[in-house]
Amino acid sequence: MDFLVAHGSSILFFLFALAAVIGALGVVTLRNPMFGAVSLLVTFLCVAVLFLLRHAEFVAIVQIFVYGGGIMVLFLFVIMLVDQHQLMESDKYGGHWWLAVLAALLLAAVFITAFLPVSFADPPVAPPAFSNVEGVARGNSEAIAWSLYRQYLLPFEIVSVFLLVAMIGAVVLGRKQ
Amino acid sequence: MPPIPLEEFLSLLPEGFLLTAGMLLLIVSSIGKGVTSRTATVVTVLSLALTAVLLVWIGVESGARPILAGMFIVDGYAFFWKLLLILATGLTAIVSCRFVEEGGYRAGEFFSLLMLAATGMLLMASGFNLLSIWISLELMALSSYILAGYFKLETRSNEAAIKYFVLGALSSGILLYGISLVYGATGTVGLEGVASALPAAAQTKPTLIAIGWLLMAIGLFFKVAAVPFHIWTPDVYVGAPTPVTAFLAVCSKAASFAILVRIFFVALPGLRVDWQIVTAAVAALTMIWGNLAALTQKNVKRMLAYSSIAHAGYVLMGVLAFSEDGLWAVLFYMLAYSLITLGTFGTVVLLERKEYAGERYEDYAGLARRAPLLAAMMLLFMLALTGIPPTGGFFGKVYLFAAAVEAGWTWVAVIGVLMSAVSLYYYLGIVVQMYFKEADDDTPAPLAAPGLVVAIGFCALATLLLGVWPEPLVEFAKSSLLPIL
Repeated sequence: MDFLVAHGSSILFFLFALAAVIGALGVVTLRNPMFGAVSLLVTFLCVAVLFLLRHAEFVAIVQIFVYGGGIMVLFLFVIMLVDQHQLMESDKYGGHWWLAVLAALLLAAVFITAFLPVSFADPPVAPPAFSNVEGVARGNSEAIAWSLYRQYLLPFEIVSVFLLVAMIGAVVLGRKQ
Repeated sequence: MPPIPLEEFLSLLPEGFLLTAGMLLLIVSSIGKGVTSRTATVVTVLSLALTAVLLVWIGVESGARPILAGMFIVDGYAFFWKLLLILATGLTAIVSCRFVEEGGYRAGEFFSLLMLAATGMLLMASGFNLLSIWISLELMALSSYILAGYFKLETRSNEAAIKYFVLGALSSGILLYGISLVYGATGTVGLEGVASALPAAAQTKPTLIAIGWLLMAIGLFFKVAAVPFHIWTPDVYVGAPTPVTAFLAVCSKAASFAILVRIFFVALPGLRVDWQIVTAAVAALTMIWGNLAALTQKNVKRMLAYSSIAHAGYVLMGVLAFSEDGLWAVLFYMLAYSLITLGTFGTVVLLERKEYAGERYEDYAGLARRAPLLAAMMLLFMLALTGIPPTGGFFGKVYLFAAAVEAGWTWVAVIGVLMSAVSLYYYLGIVVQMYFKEADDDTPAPLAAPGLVVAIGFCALATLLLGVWPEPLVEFAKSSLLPIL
């Protein structure tokens, strides 16, 4: 019991990380696109929990709202619009699935080498930067707002132009000629 | 941190103006029947000219410091690239005018996307933080994906857009992953912050740093189309509408080089020895494979795609020298290359009718008789791409080779010289067609687009001028250098 309390967040981390990886595997291997979308949802939700474990509450909630909510609905719409039977009969990897596995394993090896020397300590208790605004204790959302609209103002504004371009592109390419 | 002082936003005036102009054109073109291609071209060129005026008006302070919370810098280096990018985008707009008109596609969106992409490129040139650089790069890339697929009734244009989008997104992801690893190891995304935290982080987290900067380098090599990260280039360049191909080969490549040099020189000087070796290998491979693959091409646009890959290899030579001479040689060469390449693609566009003619070597047969002046200018461009005097391409290559030799990279320079000799063969293929082959029909080539002819003439004149009198540009490039540690 003491062990569970002392290492609770680490245990939760590995549980949800494993679930996130299994969900991601489901996205690329499941044949039915609807099942794929649901596994993606599993991954999104597990990642939200991982954010929570690192005390990034705002990002965790946004992850659920935007990815688990908005983007998921968008995916489901697209899946409803395409012919599923044709999709399910076509070969997903064009006969090159072994190449995909090889590339994935290679990439996994690279990332494991990158992170192996980093120690697996229990995550720190709420880092001050996540809830401090100029030395005053505030909420996580407020701390994020301060850095988003002060330090990261320029990239934030460029993102809005970027989204505009994405919208123009969708209209331009989707419109009937 | 304190709020950003209002006067710092003044430095964003050129980018802000170009963005506003692009969005205004978009709004106006959505009213009624939209705007004609000619109107849109005039608006685009005027907006770019005004942007350049604003840029000069704001000017450059010596010893400039990053502003807007360290995201943005107004230094001589950014100033040079921005002028280059504005000039190249303006020429692209002129080259596009007739093409968009004849394609029968809406002009307003095309030219506003061109301006939005240019906004992203200007922001890239001034970016001083990995995050702002990355998102500006994405702004440019997303606009380019759409432009590549703009002729949506053409299957090849669709193919180009899909391939460009998928591989471009992959490379952006690789770049961002590298940035996140470097951030994880150093705790910052500011270029100078990374540079100062790097030595300590390289001691405690060597693998994280090594894989981080390698992934960043791979992402950047993808964007400048260097071998072995060039696979997307030929198909995208062939399938995209030809003016867009010119835009990708010149503007996108130039902006990517601007950030590649900035990141390597400002953020990663501590890993100089490592990235020099990698860059040397990539430069050598790029020059060899780009030139050899270009030899066997039957399609002019595909040949030019491989030629643009090869030229990225030459420029990388100036980067790996890591010296002041190498740096201004890169700036000089990119400007010369931009003018030459835009002139070449302008000629291809001029020869194209509504279909994709002007892409086969045979389309150039007898051009010397049908349009002597045009043939002479194309001859000049081909000589310049090879690097034969008296053209800007010659001096550009000389400066790059000299910088590489001076920095001790003689073997890379030797490969460069040998491969330049190889490139003569495929560039002269077009010249042979123009001057020594008979055309099927002897009708004069249509020179129905006066603006386009003027643009090609401007490029030809500038190429020639840089070939006989390069000093002013050399001086300008020398005054625009990054401080090297």
